[in-house]
Amino acid sequence: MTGLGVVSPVGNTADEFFDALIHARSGIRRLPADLQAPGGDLVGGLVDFDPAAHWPPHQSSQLDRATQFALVAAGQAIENAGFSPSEAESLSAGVYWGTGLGGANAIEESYRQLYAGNGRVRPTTVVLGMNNAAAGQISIAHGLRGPIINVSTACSSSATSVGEAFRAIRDGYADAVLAGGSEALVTLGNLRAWDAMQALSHADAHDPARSCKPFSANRTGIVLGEGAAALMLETEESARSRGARVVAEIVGYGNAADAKGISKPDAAGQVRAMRSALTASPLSSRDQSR
Amino acid sequence: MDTLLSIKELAAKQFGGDASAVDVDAPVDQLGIDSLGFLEFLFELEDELGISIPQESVVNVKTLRELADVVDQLATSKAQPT
Repeated sequence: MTGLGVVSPVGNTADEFFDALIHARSGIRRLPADLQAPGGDLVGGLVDFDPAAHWPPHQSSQLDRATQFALVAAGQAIENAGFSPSEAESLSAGVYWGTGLGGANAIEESYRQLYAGNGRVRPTTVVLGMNNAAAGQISIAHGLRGPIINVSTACSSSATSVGEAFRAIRDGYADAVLAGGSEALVTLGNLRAWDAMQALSHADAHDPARSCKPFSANRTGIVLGEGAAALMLETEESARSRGARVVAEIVGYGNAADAKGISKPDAAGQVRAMRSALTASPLSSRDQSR
Repeated sequence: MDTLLSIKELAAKQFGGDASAVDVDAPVDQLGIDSLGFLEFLFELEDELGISIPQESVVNVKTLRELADVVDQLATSKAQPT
């Protein structure tokens, strides 16, 4: 891994993001009135993002919010890695991207107009809303013409894309892959859908920023957030030959299905996924037992 | 209403640049507008002018000036009693 980029509720660069993490700064806030459910105590992690800082209006209107995040994070990762492939190198530089809902804002807006607005659907709704829009736009923006895959495995979409990119590079299908994921699903319709499942956390009475507390006895649910993260992955040979700074190395990846409830994660599946990642790695059994 | 001016202004807004620099006699694809971009442009134009532009009426339109002519013809035929 030679570069990274982040767009998040706690910072729109990798440095800001890391700084927020080590200082335990939460990006969770009470949601604005136009996104609230009756009761008004929904919280979320929204990104402070101004499209005008990145594109003129006629270009940003052609990109869903999730794709805008994706393009900014991907651009940071590529710049951070100093990656500028030649024409020939671009043929083996791919994009592996994860997203759960893709262009959720574009789709929701089209339904809103259709059912409750002027009854018209924009001609660009498909290319803004489709799940693979971000992967395609990243490829276009940076001329990456190697393998491209869009991964959609709910909360693990981005992790899966990174793992699959690792395998693609290790197994010789690509020399470099821009991998990661993006999500922008904090829309009214989607919030209501999650709330209907009674899965959403309610605002902490003392501090809404502390509403997300997994494993705590007084937890009330999950918190939806938005953002993007991108990693520039490449073969060690590629990184060394161009003198790139190596930030990290991926040594193993595993993937396993729970084959249990569709909304209920099962520990046995998680254990098998982790074991398979460790088995695929050069880590010793002593490392694995820790 | 100056249809051509409205079209120039909308083209500048949607594809970037200055309205005065939009070449209304250039083939649309030379303005950097692909087929989907042109559909989106027609969608916006319909909203802005409050009209409906049937697909078949623009099949042979090559330039923005030709588009303005089509729009004017649509307005004229709509205004005439049948």
